Amino acid sequence: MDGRQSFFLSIALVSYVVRIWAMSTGYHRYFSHRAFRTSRFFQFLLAVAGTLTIERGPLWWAAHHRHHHRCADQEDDIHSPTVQGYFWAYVGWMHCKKYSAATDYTRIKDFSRYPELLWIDRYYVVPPLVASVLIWVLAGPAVFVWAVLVGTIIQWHALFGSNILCHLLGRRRFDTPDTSRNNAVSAVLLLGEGWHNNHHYYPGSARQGFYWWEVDLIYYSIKLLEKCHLVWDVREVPEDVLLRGRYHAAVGSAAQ
Amino acid sequence: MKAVEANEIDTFSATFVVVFHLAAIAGILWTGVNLFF
Repeated sequence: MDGRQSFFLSIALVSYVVRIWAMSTGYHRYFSHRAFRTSRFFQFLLAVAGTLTIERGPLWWAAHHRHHHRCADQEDDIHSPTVQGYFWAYVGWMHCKKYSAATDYTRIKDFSRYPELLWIDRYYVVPPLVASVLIWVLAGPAVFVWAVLVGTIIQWHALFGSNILCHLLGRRRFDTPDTSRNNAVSAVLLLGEGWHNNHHYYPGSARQGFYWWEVDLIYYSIKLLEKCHLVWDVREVPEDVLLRGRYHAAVGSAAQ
Repeated sequence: MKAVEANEIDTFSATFVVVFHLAAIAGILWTGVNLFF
Protein backbone atom coordinates (compact mmCIF):
# COMPACT_ATOMS: atom_id res chain seq x y z
CA MET A 1 0.00 0.00 0.00
CA ASP A 2 1.53 3.30 -1.04
CA GLY A 3 1.23 6.69 0.65
CA ARG A 4 -1.79 7.85 -1.34
CA GLN A 5 -3.77 4.71 -0.57
CA SER A 6 -2.95 5.00 3.15
CA PHE A 7 -3.92 8.66 3.05
CA PHE A 8 -7.41 8.06 1.68
CA LEU A 9 -8.07 5.08 3.94
CA SER A 10 -6.93 7.16 6.92
CA ILE A 11 -9.32 9.94 5.91
CA ALA A 12 -12.23 7.49 5.90
CA LEU A 13 -11.14 6.13 9.28
CA VAL A 14 -10.83 9.57 10.87
CA SER A 15 -14.19 10.59 9.42
CA TYR A 16 -15.72 7.42 10.88
CA VAL A 17 -14.19 7.82 14.34
CA VAL A 18 -15.13 11.50 14.63
CA ARG A 19 -18.77 10.79 13.74
CA ILE A 20 -19.07 7.72 15.98
CA TRP A 21 -17.67 9.84 18.80
CA ALA A 22 -20.13 12.67 18.10
CA MET A 23 -23.10 10.32 17.95
CA SER A 24 -22.16 8.36 21.06
CA THR A 25 -21.04 11.25 23.23
CA GLY A 26 -23.56 13.85 22.10
CA TYR A 27 -26.74 12.28 20.77
CA HIS A 28 -26.58 9.20 22.98
CA ARG A 29 -24.90 9.76 26.33
CA TYR A 30 -25.65 13.49 26.64
CA PHE A 31 -28.94 14.31 24.90
CA SER A 32 -30.63 10.95 25.46
CA HIS A 33 -29.33 10.04 28.92
CA ARG A 34 -27.92 13.23 30.42
CA ALA A 35 -24.88 11.29 31.59
CA PHE A 36 -22.91 14.48 32.24
CA ARG A 37 -23.44 18.22 32.35
CA THR A 38 -21.88 20.88 30.19
CA SER A 39 -22.18 24.52 29.14
CA ARG A 40 -24.82 25.73 26.75
CA PHE A 41 -22.13 26.47 24.16
CA PHE A 42 -20.51 23.02 24.33
CA GLN A 43 -23.97 21.46 24.32
CA PHE A 44 -24.61 23.22 21.00
CA LEU A 45 -21.26 22.03 19.65
CA LEU A 46 -22.20 18.44 20.55
CA ALA A 47 -25.49 18.89 18.73
CA VAL A 48 -23.78 20.25 15.61
CA ALA A 49 -21.15 17.49 15.67
CA GLY A 50 -23.90 14.87 15.93
CA THR A 51 -25.66 16.15 12.82
CA LEU A 52 -22.55 15.17 10.82
CA THR A 53 -23.66 11.55 11.19
CA ILE A 54 -26.64 12.42 8.95
CA GLU A 55 -29.08 10.69 11.29
CA ARG A 56 -31.41 13.65 11.69
CA GLY A 57 -31.42 16.15 14.56
CA PRO A 58 -30.26 15.69 18.16
CA LEU A 59 -33.70 16.09 19.73
CA TRP A 60 -35.37 13.80 17.18
CA TRP A 61 -32.73 11.13 17.85
CA ALA A 62 -32.75 11.48 21.63
CA ALA A 63 -36.58 11.52 21.82
CA HIS A 64 -36.74 8.24 19.88
CA HIS A 65 -33.92 6.74 21.93
CA ARG A 66 -35.63 7.54 25.22
CA HIS A 67 -38.74 5.85 23.86
CA HIS A 68 -36.62 2.81 22.89
CA HIS A 69 -35.43 2.47 26.48
CA ARG A 70 -38.94 2.82 27.88
CA CYS A 71 -40.25 -0.12 25.88
CA ALA A 72 -37.20 -2.02 24.66
CA ASP A 73 -38.13 -5.23 22.80
CA GLN A 74 -41.82 -4.66 23.38
CA GLU A 75 -44.51 -4.00 20.78
CA ASP A 76 -43.94 -0.21 20.86
CA ASP A 77 -40.14 -0.38 20.55
CA ILE A 78 -39.04 1.56 17.48
CA HIS A 79 -36.23 -0.81 16.44
CA SER A 80 -36.38 -4.20 18.07
CA PRO A 81 -34.94 -7.07 15.99
CA THR A 82 -36.85 -9.59 18.10
CA VAL A 83 -40.24 -7.90 17.62
CA GLN A 84 -40.15 -6.24 14.19
CA GLY A 85 -37.42 -8.25 12.49
CA TYR A 86 -33.82 -7.64 11.37
CA PHE A 87 -34.39 -5.35 8.39
CA TRP A 88 -36.72 -3.11 10.35
CA ALA A 89 -34.29 -2.83 13.27
CA TYR A 90 -31.40 -2.20 10.85
CA VAL A 91 -32.76 0.57 8.62
CA GLY A 92 -36.52 0.20 8.23
CA TRP A 93 -37.46 2.30 11.25
CA MET A 94 -35.32 5.26 10.11
CA HIS A 95 -37.17 5.46 6.79
CA CYS A 96 -40.70 4.98 8.03
CA LYS A 97 -43.02 8.01 7.95
CA LYS A 98 -44.29 7.18 11.40
CA TYR A 99 -40.83 7.82 12.90
CA SER A 100 -39.15 10.14 10.39
CA ALA A 101 -41.83 12.79 10.97
CA ALA A 102 -41.27 15.86 13.14
CA THR A 103 -39.70 15.46 16.58
CA ASP A 104 -42.04 14.67 19.45
CA TYR A 105 -40.82 17.38 21.80
CA THR A 106 -42.95 16.11 24.67
CA ARG A 107 -40.42 13.29 25.00
CA ILE A 108 -37.50 15.68 25.33
CA LYS A 109 -38.88 18.69 27.17
CA ASP A 110 -35.62 19.27 29.06
CA PHE A 111 -33.69 20.22 25.91
CA SER A 112 -36.62 21.69 23.95
CA ARG A 113 -36.38 24.93 25.91
CA TYR A 114 -33.18 25.91 24.08
CA PRO A 115 -34.02 27.77 20.83
CA GLU A 116 -30.64 26.96 19.27
CA LEU A 117 -31.26 23.23 19.79
CA LEU A 118 -34.72 23.53 18.26
CA TRP A 119 -33.10 25.28 15.28
CA ILE A 120 -30.40 22.68 14.73
CA ASP A 121 -32.96 19.91 15.24
CA ARG A 122 -35.05 21.38 12.42
CA TYR A 123 -32.17 22.32 10.11
CA TYR A 124 -29.96 19.32 10.82
CA VAL A 125 -28.93 19.13 7.17
CA VAL A 126 -27.05 22.43 7.34
CA PRO A 127 -23.81 21.33 9.13
CA PRO A 128 -23.22 18.17 7.03
CA LEU A 129 -24.06 20.10 3.86
CA VAL A 130 -21.66 22.92 4.70
CA ALA A 131 -18.94 20.45 5.74
CA SER A 132 -19.40 18.47 2.53
CA VAL A 133 -19.16 21.56 0.30
CA LEU A 134 -16.09 22.80 2.19
CA ILE A 135 -14.35 19.43 1.90
CA TRP A 136 -15.12 19.27 -1.83
CA VAL A 137 -13.91 22.84 -2.48
CA LEU A 138 -10.85 22.83 -0.20
CA ALA A 139 -9.65 19.23 -0.51
CA GLY A 140 -11.10 18.01 -3.79
CA PRO A 141 -13.54 15.32 -4.92
CA ALA A 142 -11.33 12.33 -4.01
CA VAL A 143 -11.14 13.41 -0.36
CA PHE A 144 -14.89 14.09 -0.48
CA VAL A 145 -15.52 10.50 -1.59
CA TRP A 146 -13.58 8.96 1.28
CA ALA A 147 -14.31 11.47 4.04
CA VAL A 148 -17.97 12.15 3.34
CA LEU A 149 -19.41 9.27 1.32
CA VAL A 150 -17.38 6.27 2.51
CA GLY A 151 -16.98 7.47 6.10
CA THR A 152 -20.71 8.15 6.43
CA ILE A 153 -21.77 4.80 5.04
CA ILE A 154 -19.40 2.76 7.22
CA GLN A 155 -20.61 4.70 10.25
CA TRP A 156 -24.27 4.17 9.32
CA HIS A 157 -23.84 0.43 9.02
CA ALA A 158 -21.84 0.16 12.25
CA LEU A 159 -24.51 2.07 14.17
CA PHE A 160 -27.50 0.37 12.56
CA GLY A 161 -25.83 -3.02 12.97
CA SER A 162 -25.61 -2.49 16.70
CA ASN A 163 -29.42 -2.45 16.87
CA ILE A 164 -29.28 -6.10 15.85
CA LEU A 165 -25.96 -7.33 17.27
CA CYS A 166 -26.53 -5.90 20.73
CA HIS A 167 -29.95 -7.51 21.04
CA LEU A 168 -29.10 -10.90 19.57
CA LEU A 169 -25.46 -11.85 20.17
CA GLY A 170 -23.41 -11.58 23.33
CA ARG A 171 -23.52 -12.09 27.03
CA ARG A 172 -26.24 -10.93 29.41
CA ARG A 173 -24.69 -9.97 32.72
CA PHE A 174 -27.84 -8.32 34.07
CA ASP A 175 -31.37 -9.66 33.98
CA THR A 176 -33.01 -6.75 32.15
CA PRO A 177 -36.60 -6.96 30.86
CA ASP A 178 -35.31 -6.75 27.27
CA THR A 179 -32.89 -8.79 25.14
CA SER A 180 -29.91 -6.41 25.41
CA ARG A 181 -26.49 -8.07 25.31
CA ASN A 182 -22.88 -7.06 25.79
CA ASN A 183 -21.34 -7.45 22.36
CA ALA A 184 -17.56 -7.03 22.19
CA VAL A 185 -17.45 -6.62 18.40
CA SER A 186 -19.91 -3.76 18.57
CA ALA A 187 -18.01 -2.29 21.50
CA VAL A 188 -14.82 -2.16 19.42
CA LEU A 189 -16.55 -0.80 16.32
CA LEU A 190 -18.50 1.83 18.26
CA LEU A 191 -15.72 2.83 20.65
CA GLY A 192 -17.46 1.37 23.71
CA GLU A 193 -21.15 1.50 22.80
CA GLY A 194 -21.49 -2.27 22.52
CA TRP A 195 -21.71 -2.98 26.26
CA HIS A 196 -25.42 -2.81 25.72
CA ASN A 197 -26.72 -5.03 28.51
CA ASN A 198 -24.76 -2.91 31.00
CA HIS A 199 -26.24 0.19 29.39
CA HIS A 200 -29.84 -1.05 29.50
CA TYR A 201 -29.41 -2.03 33.13
CA TYR A 202 -28.07 1.37 34.17
CA PRO A 203 -28.57 3.82 31.25
CA GLY A 204 -27.86 6.99 33.22
CA SER A 205 -24.14 6.33 33.52
CA ALA A 206 -21.59 7.99 31.23
CA ARG A 207 -19.80 4.65 31.32
CA GLN A 208 -21.02 1.60 29.41
CA GLY A 209 -17.98 -0.61 29.92
CA PHE A 210 -18.50 -1.16 33.65
CA TYR A 211 -15.17 -2.90 34.34
CA TRP A 212 -11.59 -2.23 33.31
CA TRP A 213 -11.63 -5.04 30.75
CA GLU A 214 -14.70 -3.58 29.03
CA VAL A 215 -12.90 -0.92 27.01
CA ASP A 216 -15.05 2.18 26.55
CA LEU A 217 -13.19 4.87 24.60
CA ILE A 218 -16.21 7.18 24.65
CA TYR A 219 -16.20 7.17 28.46
CA TYR A 220 -12.45 7.84 28.55
CA SER A 221 -12.97 10.78 26.19
CA ILE A 222 -15.72 12.15 28.46
CA LYS A 223 -13.34 11.90 31.43
CA LEU A 224 -10.74 13.77 29.37
CA LEU A 225 -13.30 16.49 28.62
CA GLU A 226 -14.01 16.62 32.35
CA LYS A 227 -10.31 17.17 33.07
CA CYS A 228 -10.37 20.02 30.55
CA HIS A 229 -13.41 21.48 32.42
CA LEU A 230 -15.58 21.24 29.31
CA VAL A 231 -18.02 18.84 31.00
CA TRP A 232 -18.75 18.10 34.65
CA ASP A 233 -20.92 16.00 36.96
CA VAL A 234 -20.06 12.89 34.96
CA ARG A 235 -22.40 10.17 36.19
CA GLU A 236 -20.63 6.99 37.23
CA VAL A 237 -21.90 3.46 37.82
CA PRO A 238 -22.96 3.02 41.47
CA GLU A 239 -20.91 0.57 43.52
CA ASP A 240 -23.90 -1.68 44.22
CA VAL A 241 -24.49 -2.09 40.49
CA LEU A 242 -20.84 -3.05 39.97
CA LEU A 243 -21.05 -5.55 42.84
CA ARG A 244 -24.24 -7.05 41.39
CA GLY A 245 -22.49 -7.41 38.04
CA ARG A 246 -19.54 -9.17 39.67
CA TYR A 247 -21.93 -11.49 41.45
CA HIS A 248 -23.68 -12.42 38.21
CA ALA A 249 -20.29 -12.98 36.57
CA ALA A 250 -19.30 -15.32 39.41
CA VAL A 251 -22.47 -17.41 39.38
CA GLY A 252 -23.05 -17.24 35.62
CA SER A 253 -24.81 -14.79 33.36
CA ALA A 254 -28.24 -13.53 34.31
CA ALA A 255 -29.97 -15.12 31.33
CA GLN A 256 -28.32 -16.39 28.17
CA MET B 1 -54.97 15.42 7.16
CA LYS B 2 -54.22 11.87 6.13
CA ALA B 3 -53.12 9.71 9.01
CA VAL B 4 -49.72 8.06 8.57
CA GLU B 5 -50.22 4.34 8.31
CA ALA B 6 -47.98 2.06 10.31
CA ASN B 7 -44.69 1.36 8.54
CA GLU B 8 -45.47 3.57 5.55
CA ILE B 9 -42.14 4.26 3.85
CA ASP B 10 -40.66 7.76 3.74
CA THR B 11 -39.80 7.84 0.04
CA PHE B 12 -37.51 10.86 0.19
CA SER B 13 -35.49 9.49 3.10
CA ALA B 14 -35.14 6.03 1.57
CA THR B 15 -34.21 7.43 -1.84
CA PHE B 16 -31.57 9.67 -0.27
CA VAL B 17 -29.90 6.71 1.43
CA VAL B 18 -29.94 4.61 -1.75
CA VAL B 19 -28.50 7.46 -3.83
CA PHE B 20 -25.86 8.09 -1.14
CA HIS B 21 -24.77 4.45 -1.33
CA LEU B 22 -24.67 4.52 -5.14
CA ALA B 23 -22.60 7.72 -5.05
CA ALA B 24 -20.18 6.12 -2.59
CA ILE B 25 -19.79 3.02 -4.76
CA ALA B 26 -19.23 5.19 -7.83
CA GLY B 27 -16.71 7.28 -5.88
CA ILE B 28 -14.84 4.23 -4.62
CA LEU B 29 -14.63 2.85 -8.15
CA TRP B 30 -13.49 6.19 -9.53
CA THR B 31 -10.81 6.85 -6.91
CA GLY B 32 -10.00 3.14 -6.68
CA VAL B 33 -8.99 2.98 -10.32
CA ASN B 34 -6.61 5.88 -9.74
CA LEU B 35 -5.34 4.72 -6.36
CA PHE B 36 -5.07 0.99 -6.51
CA PHE B 37 -4.43 0.17 -10.17
